[in-house]
Amino acid sequence: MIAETGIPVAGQETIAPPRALRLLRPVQLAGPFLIALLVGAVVLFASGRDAIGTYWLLAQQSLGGTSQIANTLVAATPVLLTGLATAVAFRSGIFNVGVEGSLYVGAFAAAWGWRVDEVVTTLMLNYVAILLTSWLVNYYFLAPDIANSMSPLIAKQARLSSLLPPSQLTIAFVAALLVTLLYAYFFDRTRLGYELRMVGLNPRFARAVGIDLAGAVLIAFVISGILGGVAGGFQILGVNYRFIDHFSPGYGFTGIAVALLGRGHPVGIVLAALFFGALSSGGAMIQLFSDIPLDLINILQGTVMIFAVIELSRLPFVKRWLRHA
Amino acid sequence: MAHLSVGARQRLEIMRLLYRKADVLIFDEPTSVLTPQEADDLFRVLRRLAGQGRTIIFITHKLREVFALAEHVTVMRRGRIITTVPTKGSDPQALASLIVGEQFERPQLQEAAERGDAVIDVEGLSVCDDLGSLSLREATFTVHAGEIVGVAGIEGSGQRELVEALLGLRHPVAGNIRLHGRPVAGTSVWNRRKRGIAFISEDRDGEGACLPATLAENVFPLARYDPELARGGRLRISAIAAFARSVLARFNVRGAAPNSPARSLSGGNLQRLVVGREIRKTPRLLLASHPTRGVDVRGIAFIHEQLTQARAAGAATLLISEELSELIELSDRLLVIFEGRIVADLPAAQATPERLGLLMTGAA
Amino acid sequence: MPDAILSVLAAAAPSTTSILLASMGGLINRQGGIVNIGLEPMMLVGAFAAVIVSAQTGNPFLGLLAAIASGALLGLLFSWSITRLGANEIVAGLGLNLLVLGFFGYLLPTVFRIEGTLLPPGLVGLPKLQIPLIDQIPGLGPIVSGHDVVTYLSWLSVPLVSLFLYRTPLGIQLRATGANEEAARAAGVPTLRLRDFSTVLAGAFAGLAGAQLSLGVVTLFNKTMTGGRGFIALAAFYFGDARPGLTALGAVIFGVFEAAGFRLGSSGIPSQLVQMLPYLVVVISLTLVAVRRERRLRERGRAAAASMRTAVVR
Repeated sequence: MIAETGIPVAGQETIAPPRALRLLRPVQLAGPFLIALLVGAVVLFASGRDAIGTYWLLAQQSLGGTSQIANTLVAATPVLLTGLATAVAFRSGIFNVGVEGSLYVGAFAAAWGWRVDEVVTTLMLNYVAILLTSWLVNYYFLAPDIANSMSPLIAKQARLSSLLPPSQLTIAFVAALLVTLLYAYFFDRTRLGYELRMVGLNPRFARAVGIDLAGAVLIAFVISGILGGVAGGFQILGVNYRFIDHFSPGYGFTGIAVALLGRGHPVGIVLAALFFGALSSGGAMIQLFSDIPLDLINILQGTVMIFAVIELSRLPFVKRWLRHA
Repeated sequence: MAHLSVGARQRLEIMRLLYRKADVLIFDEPTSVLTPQEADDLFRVLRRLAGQGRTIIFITHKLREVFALAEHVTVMRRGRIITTVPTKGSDPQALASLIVGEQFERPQLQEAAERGDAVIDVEGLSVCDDLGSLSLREATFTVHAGEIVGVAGIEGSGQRELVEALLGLRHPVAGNIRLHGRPVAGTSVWNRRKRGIAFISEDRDGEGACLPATLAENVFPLARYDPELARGGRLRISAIAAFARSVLARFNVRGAAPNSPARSLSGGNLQRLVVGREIRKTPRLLLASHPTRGVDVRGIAFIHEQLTQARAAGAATLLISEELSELIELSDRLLVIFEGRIVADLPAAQATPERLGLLMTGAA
Repeated sequence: MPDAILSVLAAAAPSTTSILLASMGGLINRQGGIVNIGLEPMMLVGAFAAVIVSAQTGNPFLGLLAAIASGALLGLLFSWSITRLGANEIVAGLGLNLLVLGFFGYLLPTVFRIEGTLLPPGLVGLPKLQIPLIDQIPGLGPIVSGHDVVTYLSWLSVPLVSLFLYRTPLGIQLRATGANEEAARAAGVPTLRLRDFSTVLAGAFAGLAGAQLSLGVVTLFNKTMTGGRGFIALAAFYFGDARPGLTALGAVIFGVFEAAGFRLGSSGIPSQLVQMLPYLVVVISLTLVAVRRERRLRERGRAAAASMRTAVVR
């Protein structure tokens, strides 16, 4: 049920680092981000595109003006929430890769203390949730007037109003920031947060000092699931105004990348969410101005995830450099 | 292979190494799972191998073994080689000083206390291990206030399961545990801790402490419902830091601030922290499982002192150790456990290492 | 009605193949100590390589080899990130999914200038093998006969994988590595290399599975063609507890679900609910296994305690 997740989280450094390793730390933090941009540049260049020009366009289209920034914040909102959802689970020692659909059964299994592999169950439950909602929307909530699988639009009064028309920047983004503050407060300043953290860092220790493991896992799953649900809800109320079959372009998985890149630290999580928000809002725009598909963003995101968990200090050439330093 | 004794399995392992024509044999604390008799057998084998021209490197923290076996001894302290000396011409006192780094004298321990009421009554307790096989069989004993009861036995004879059942980490399959006459069956670890059960784990790094967390976070957990430190579920950070500082100072954990990581402490200092956390408030029942394992000589003396002070203050202590001399020196009474059964319950005054060794192997 | 069942089974054979192969690769990897959730992208790479090489050479069997090689190569890189660079296998696997999916999503419109389906000129699919005599048997014939060579290979792979894992020194060392890496290393087993080897095998199996999709089931490539079969394969070897026989059973069941899903869609039963079944089956079976294990442990303990008490006569 609880395993060493091996997920690097702030404040979990394994050793008092020697100087060379300390020099490497900012690189380790910014590394995945830089390597991803490099990989993206290679892909662009190899396919005959202007890498620097594309990145410049990407930056302009995501940060170059008020409406661009507003769009970036809109795009950052769901992944900030799913990032926090993932981070809550990670810091409690649970590998919840099913933020999109794990809440119920995962929590139930945990509550009874069965040792079920949470990675596989949450992964499988993702599909269950996606297919279940797809069935619901197609068979029971289908909008009558359109061909696509969508529910009817929600009532105007129920929609979140824009803070900055014509953009879709709503109170949802502010709420997500508040949730980030709550996240920080919860883990640093509350007894329950402390208990979950101890469970995440060393479950045997936590058990021996009388922390209820099954309860902690249940709570972490529930919080994680609620945050995932809030992310989806805001997306419906503030952006899509309806449920669309398969509407999530992998917000849950981006959330994993956000939690990893942010190393579980609230500031890091916000920055990582803004980064991915900028990529997807900018990416959507450059798709209009050039023939570069949005899939470039997936390449960057996948690279970030892989390199966020790779220990750079174990790369052969870095090792050699460390020995010299 | 599972039916062989640990000693026999060890000999098999050595034979395997010899079969592979090993010239250098490294042993890392091999006697912790052996009785004194088995250890002597092992030493005889090792001396014969050395006589045949093989090199033996023997890592131990028991001074007795150094002098029983080695020709040369290398002293290490905090990852550094301090010195290498021939064992002839050295003596345990001198070696202890080298290990500690300065002249060292053992403090005087508290005398045995007045024995009080029964704190814990264990009756017919049977406990299974993780694989479902019975590792503690029908244990029946009592520990009184102001008494240290030692448990002697080869490691893996059911001691761990006994402690886990008492603390509430493991459900017994049969039998009763009563704390101050009231049954504890079905109560949580936290519930038992609130009723005065303390626990020093034999696995300091894996269970006793949380290495990636800070010292304050390691001292805090048992006091986490103290309204001074956490009000309404909110932590009072500065109060917790002050609390941690006072515990660290009182138990002499040196060179550490409340917010430095527990990983930065040496084993001995970390164990002081663990002991301090557990006996800061005198426990009703202290489960001390190998409390001095991997601790330097100075730390051992400190922990012995703390255990006897807790006894004087009225704690009932169940002391599990592989160091028979430690058991005999500290305990008032000794239980001997063999293959999950308590085979003897005798006053410590009547125990000798040889007699315990025979009982531990079921030979007596 | 029996006709409908038989036709579902006949359709299930080819749709089982890729799941079966990928799950065999995944279970070898699992026995070697790595949970491989990168089977899906490895299949996709295999499917792509098979199409490209088959179109270039006109020989679909060279396409199969290319698929095996490319899957194995991706497996090796994936394995290194885990065994040598300390990456968490789950996160690295999810990252690989995104990376490879993104890569093909980018590649097709920018380099091949197509949206959707890649159908290069000269592409040759795998021939269907008619087995003499058997193909004459009514009912059974279409189930057993008339499939591509990879399908028959996938059937063969189940006993072969079983033999490899349980009867060869290499397989036994591999399982020892997965069961207790430290002990295996202490006994002189090259555990890192064996874990890499198991991932390479997983990649090769997944690559071949992908090729069966792009040259056997259909003759084309698009980036959604694996359709989550890598994850169904994961479900299959979790369902089968990483044992070849049970895993194959799981793969067949899930293959039948898939074949049935297409048919049921037209009969009013929502296809989503049928597609959900493999995932639900895994979650439920994993939960049941865990519950049963707990209960069995408890009962064994109680029985042991009881038998002991009767043995002691007082």
